Amino acid sequence: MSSRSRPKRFLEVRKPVGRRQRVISALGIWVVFFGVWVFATASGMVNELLVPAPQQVFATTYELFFERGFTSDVLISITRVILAFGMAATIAIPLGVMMGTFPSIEAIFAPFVSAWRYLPAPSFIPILLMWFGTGEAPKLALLFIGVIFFLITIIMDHTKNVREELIETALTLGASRGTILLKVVFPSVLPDIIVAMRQMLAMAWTYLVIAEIVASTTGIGAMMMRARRFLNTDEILSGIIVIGALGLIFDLLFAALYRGMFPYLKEKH
Amino acid sequence: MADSILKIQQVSKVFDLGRGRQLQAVQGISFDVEKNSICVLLGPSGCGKSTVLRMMAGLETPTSGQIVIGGQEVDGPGRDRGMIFQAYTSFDWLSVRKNVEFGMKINGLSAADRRSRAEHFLDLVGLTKFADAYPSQLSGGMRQRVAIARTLANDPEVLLMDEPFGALDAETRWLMQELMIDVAEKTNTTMVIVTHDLEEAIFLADKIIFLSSHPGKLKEIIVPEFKGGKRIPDKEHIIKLNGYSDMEEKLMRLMREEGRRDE
Repeated sequence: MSSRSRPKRFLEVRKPVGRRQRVISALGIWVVFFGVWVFATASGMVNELLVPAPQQVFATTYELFFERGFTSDVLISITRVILAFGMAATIAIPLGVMMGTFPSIEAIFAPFVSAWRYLPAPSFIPILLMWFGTGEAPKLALLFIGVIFFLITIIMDHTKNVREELIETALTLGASRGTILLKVVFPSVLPDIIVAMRQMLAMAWTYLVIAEIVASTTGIGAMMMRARRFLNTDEILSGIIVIGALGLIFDLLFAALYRGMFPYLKEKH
Repeated sequence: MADSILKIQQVSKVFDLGRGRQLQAVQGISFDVEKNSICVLLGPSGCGKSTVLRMMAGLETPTSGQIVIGGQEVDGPGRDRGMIFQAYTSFDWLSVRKNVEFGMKINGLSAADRRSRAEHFLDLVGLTKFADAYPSQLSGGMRQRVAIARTLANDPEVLLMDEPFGALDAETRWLMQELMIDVAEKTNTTMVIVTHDLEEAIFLADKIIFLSSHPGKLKEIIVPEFKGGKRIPDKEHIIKLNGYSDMEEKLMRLMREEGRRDE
């Protein structure tokens, strides 16, 4: 290092921090969090019935998975998210891309989609329960309604941002409308679609938990509501941790999918 | 002079800006583009030169008048008029080779034909080594080479270029201009190039169509006679020719007149 370098201050405007500092900072905040938690429970500052110690929560999580068949609840929840999100994406991707490409299609669906977007999905729960009873259908429907209208709108907006020059270049190379849609617009917007799906999947998890807490006997949310009845706060906290972990895993899977699908974006950031 | 391949006949363009307001961008322009020639559209900004080019491409429709290519009136874009834009237009998800093959593929050429034509045109623009790279790994000048190879490989009757080197730095621009002379000589492609760069116009043009601004009208058709009917392959040689500085001075004067009129 040069002898002229100024002493390093902690707060530097937009100067990247080193790897070591990042690791220490990240670990530090979690150590503090668990430290306060452990201290609060061990010292009796909080009622252990309402706030069990972290070590107990982790022990319960282990027990739930390996002794009490929690795995099947988790799998049910994952299946619901994948099914409902898959159905929403199957409709939203082609429709959003068509709306972003053809103003005539946008003119039909945009007024409809934007109106639905402002209706909070959970407000449909009572009517969904009346229509579909307590089976799988109302849960899937809630997730579907909660996700699809946002997904359509985001994909449409990204599609509109596909640069005009790309389309005009294709036209002067002799491309038909179908070719422009499938060979230029779609591949061009695909990275943005994957990013949009990654973000909307987090929302799908939110609606899943709502659906399972309100009206379900299976799934992670249902387990948490059962635990509430028996004052098993450690199980409720386990549920929260598992949902968080699943969200993180799905997010990482999407990140890996993105890297795998779009090697040409590696050079940029 | 050789036969003309493009005829621009009394072409006008009025843009509707909405709320009853209109903008006359181009007014009653006529000129011909000869087969295998390089025709440069030159003029100050706002002279409608890009609009004229876009009408040739079929990306805009003339309000009146007509554009005829090879005896047929232009009606929409087509592969007979390939276009290069100032902005980069590489398809980022395709390798350089796949970019160059794109036009041929959508027009139904066999894989073997595509392959060999792509090799040929990649070689012509000096990108053989980068055939398997992605466009995002290339510099700006190289990306424009990809666009040029892609358009030429599609075998257009005319190559239309809208300020193709405007975004490049000076030395890359010279190289690209020299490349275009080389390409024109080797492929006998007819080119129409829009620019506001005087040097570029003089270096490339067999014929300069000078447009005046607001609205865009034909001001003068200028043939750089000092080149003696030949194309000069490099920039250093052309500036030494007798008549070069007179030509530059003349164009500068025309530009200035237009600029003053605007004030």
